[in-house]
Amino acid sequence: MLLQITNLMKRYKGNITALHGVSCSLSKGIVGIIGPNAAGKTTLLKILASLEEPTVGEISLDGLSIGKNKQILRSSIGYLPQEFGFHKCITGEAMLDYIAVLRGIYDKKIRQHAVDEVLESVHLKGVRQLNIGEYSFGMKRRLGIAQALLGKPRILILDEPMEGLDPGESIRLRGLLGEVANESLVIIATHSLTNIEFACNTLLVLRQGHMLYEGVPEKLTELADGLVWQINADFQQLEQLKTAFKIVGVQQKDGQAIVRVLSSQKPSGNAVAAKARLEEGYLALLNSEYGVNI
Amino acid sequence: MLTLELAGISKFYKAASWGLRNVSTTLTPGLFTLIGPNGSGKTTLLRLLAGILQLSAGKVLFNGQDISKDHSKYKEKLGYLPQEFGFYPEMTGRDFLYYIARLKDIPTKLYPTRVEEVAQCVGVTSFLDRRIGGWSVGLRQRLGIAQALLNDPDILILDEPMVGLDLEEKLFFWNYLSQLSKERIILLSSNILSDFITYSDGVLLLVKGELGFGGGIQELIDLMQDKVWVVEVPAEMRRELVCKWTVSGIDILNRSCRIRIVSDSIPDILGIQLTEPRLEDAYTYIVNQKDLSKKE
Repeated sequence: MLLQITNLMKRYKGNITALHGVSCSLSKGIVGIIGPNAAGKTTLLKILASLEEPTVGEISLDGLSIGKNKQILRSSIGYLPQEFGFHKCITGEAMLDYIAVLRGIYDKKIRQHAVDEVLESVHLKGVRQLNIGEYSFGMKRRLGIAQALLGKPRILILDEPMEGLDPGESIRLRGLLGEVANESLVIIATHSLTNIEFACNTLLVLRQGHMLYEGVPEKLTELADGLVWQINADFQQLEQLKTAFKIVGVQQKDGQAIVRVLSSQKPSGNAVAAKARLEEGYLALLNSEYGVNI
Repeated sequence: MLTLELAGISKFYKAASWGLRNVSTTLTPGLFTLIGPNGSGKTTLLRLLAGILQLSAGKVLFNGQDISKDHSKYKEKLGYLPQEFGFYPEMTGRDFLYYIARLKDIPTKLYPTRVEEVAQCVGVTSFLDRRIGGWSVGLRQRLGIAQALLNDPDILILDEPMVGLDLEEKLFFWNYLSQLSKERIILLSSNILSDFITYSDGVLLLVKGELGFGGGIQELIDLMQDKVWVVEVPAEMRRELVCKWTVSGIDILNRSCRIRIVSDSIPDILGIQLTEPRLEDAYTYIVNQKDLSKKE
């Protein structure tokens, strides 16, 4: 399977450009889209989910141009929007059944089976008969993911799926998506790096509608190689460092602080080079003063 | 030095359920992060400390004084940001801060200077005269923290302040809170998977209303030496391993995954090896231990 995105551009009224010619090709596996707020992540997902029209550009699936042929794309997609509205007074099971009908699964037996399967995979079987109003926040998120999984879509698009999940739930979701990704393309947008650091084969970094990076997470981390320094500082030195450098970590203990600094030059005599983390690679990419070539 | 002592505090809800059970610890100036699964009592604990909920048992002592004895004096020293913070979209940032200053009983004369000060601290000065309805999530969160700072509190309690912020905004907040925490006790709740959580000087881990761990992050990770195992398996095998072992992480690779397992002894899986612990491993280990001890 190949989802090809070519020169996608989106302009809204008032001359606001959300995407400036984004291109990439995606195949099976998990793709993480990261970037600051207002980078265009949600716009890109909405276009992929065929909820919005691109102003310019093309999407093709397995070489077949989508264009006006939205049905081809729609029948292959499961989508979880950032804010998912629920009726409080129906059960989780009833909601999934309803959405399965909307997806075109008309046979009652097949539908029941499909609903059972997704309830199982998000661990909601035990509460299927409860009204959604009684669900916790995490349960509602998982129900949202369950509806996106209905009918085994070839492309699963999730906008901030891990927001509000606790670490245990998040690890389970990661495992589930890993399994789904054996057969399908899973696209996740998030602004938390730690959530997807170990969950993706490919990362895309968007900023203000431009794609800055496409590649494996490790390579993004490597962008900060040689730029990360660790310093044992007293509070006075910490203040000096703060005014002169970008601080990316502070831990205080007994009147001392261990400070992590992002800098292209050695920031002080007692600084030691430290191993870069993913978020530091991302910050180096976003802040051109570190001389990272895009 | 400031101290906030939690002496066996509990909260009992109706229908025989404990929201919080016998939590004891002492906080001193610094940045403390409260972590734990959804439903473990994080918000309950913060609301008890903010004086919004009544304790069922135990005491909270601020500098040795029981806070229930002189509540209004305690509140003068307290800043609180609830999880869901309502704003009036038609109000400007300045109006809003004046309004809160009034609710906090700050002397009227001081309004203009205090409002300017806190706005400058969190970097919203240039937006103060615009309607809050037009502010971004990050700016609103800054305003939420600004209102909590109006009375120059010794204790700052923030419920999930990082939600919805992007990485650079989070970095701004962690740096800023870390600076404030030199002379204040700051307790914030967060997800352990939050970016930059390593800024915390200490973490409190709640599991089912009880304190599972209190201490430094490195200390927490060090508990896991020789207890974290890793094995690379095809993705389909995940289910089986998840059922049988306590899985603390799943790293997705091409067509396979690397499963992390926490266990005191070596799991009998072919090719499994010891690995360096991460924060997630320690978290999973403690949360599960507590789960098991409940079942027994």
